[in-house]
Amino acid sequence: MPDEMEEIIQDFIIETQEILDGLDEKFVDLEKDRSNQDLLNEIFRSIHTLKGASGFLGFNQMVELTHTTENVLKKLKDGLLEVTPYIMDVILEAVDLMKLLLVHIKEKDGKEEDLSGIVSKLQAIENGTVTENTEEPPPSRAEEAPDKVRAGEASADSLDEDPPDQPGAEKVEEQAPSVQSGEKEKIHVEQTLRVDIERLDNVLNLVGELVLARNRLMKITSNIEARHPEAPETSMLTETTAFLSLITTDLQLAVMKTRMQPVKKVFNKFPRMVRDLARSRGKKVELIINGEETEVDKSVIENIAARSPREERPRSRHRNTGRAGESGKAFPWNRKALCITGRQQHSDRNRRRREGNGCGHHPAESR
Amino acid sequence: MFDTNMKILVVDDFSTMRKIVRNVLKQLGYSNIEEAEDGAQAYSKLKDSTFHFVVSDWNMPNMDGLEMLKKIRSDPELKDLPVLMVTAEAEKDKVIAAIKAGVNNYIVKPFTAETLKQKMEQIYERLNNG
Repeated sequence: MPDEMEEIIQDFIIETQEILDGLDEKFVDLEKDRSNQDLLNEIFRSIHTLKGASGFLGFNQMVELTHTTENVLKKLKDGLLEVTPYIMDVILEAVDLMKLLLVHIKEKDGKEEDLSGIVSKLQAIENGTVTENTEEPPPSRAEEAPDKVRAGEASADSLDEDPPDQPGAEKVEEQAPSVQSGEKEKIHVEQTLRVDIERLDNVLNLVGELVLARNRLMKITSNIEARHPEAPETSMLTETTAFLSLITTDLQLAVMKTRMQPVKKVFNKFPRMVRDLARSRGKKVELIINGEETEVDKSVIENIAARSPREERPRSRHRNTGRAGESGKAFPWNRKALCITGRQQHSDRNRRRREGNGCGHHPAESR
Repeated sequence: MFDTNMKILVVDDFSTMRKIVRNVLKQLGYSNIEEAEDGAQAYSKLKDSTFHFVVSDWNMPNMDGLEMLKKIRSDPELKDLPVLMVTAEAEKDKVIAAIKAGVNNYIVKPFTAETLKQKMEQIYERLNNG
């Protein structure tokens, strides 16, 4: 049954990709709320699941990596280890490697990665042989930072008073209810259906044909109207055509909507990217994302996502967070925030809504 | 051995795993299979229609396998339903807890069709001789 196997592997790739993409976000949340047991359990379960399925499918490198990562996560989950920035660094490195292994699985290139480095790091953490030294954040490079840190548009000045030894210690109001929203999402996921994009495109094409036919019909109707304005059939035809036209327009919008995806899919990459950047620079950066529920066509999402987030400079403005944030509350800490804003989508006709959220809109964003 | 027409419920939160288990069961001739994403969904399915066998994962959101097993055993309608638990590796504590809760057998993943067959045969024999 090679076909069935192939189908299972394809499913595995899609599902694993979803898990790994979700993990970045979960880890960044965990770093902010280190005692969040639910989140830890969720992360553990994801890696555990991945290990189980990889074992069945014979993806041995994936098994090895997920197994050693799982061991560390189990100790974290059971409270035998504490989440430190160093441990997070290593686990995130492992997750990155899992992504790479998945690429090899996807491309069937038979390539293997050298896992010895990461495995021994994970094992050292698991066995408690990590020295205190390595748990310190990497050396701060504040002096040289201002220019380079702009890669992520996070400003590096005015951070001197905030020693970088406890990144993520404060809780962020905007992101605090992450677990609850996660649960909501789960309920939502159960109500969704995965459909081949070709089928949707096919429906879209058919609707396009329908629109053309409708337009012709409307033209014919208006000709008849001009010629036989008094005939009772004419008014019936006009009425029916108008109704058909309305339905066709609604159908067209509904079909286009099926291809819409929240821009959150792209923004989800930023928390991890900003976290890594902040950590490598020894800075505290608070990332605030607005309007991630804005929906755009799938092709647009893919276009944005195709560009590496490191090359992509998010259109954003940094601001001193001493001022009022979008929730109307002043941020008490002295550091810079990075703010990414998706345009608020209001109706089918893409009416724009601007919110006075204090986040500062870049003129380019509203285009 | 069990009738190959019996209705089996496969419980796992990872859909790829459900497909894998379904595939292994199919190799043994079982094709009357339904799926559930977690213990809670499984329990409500079990209440809704008659199943003859359950293959369940352990670690799942909402209601995990052990909790589901306890619910099944304390339900007068379902208490005799054979349950086979799937675990990632032989974890002693877990297995002991499951045996206490009345699991019929457990299987360590990854497993082959042959291993699954043996485990199912053991369950069948115990049910019919015990």
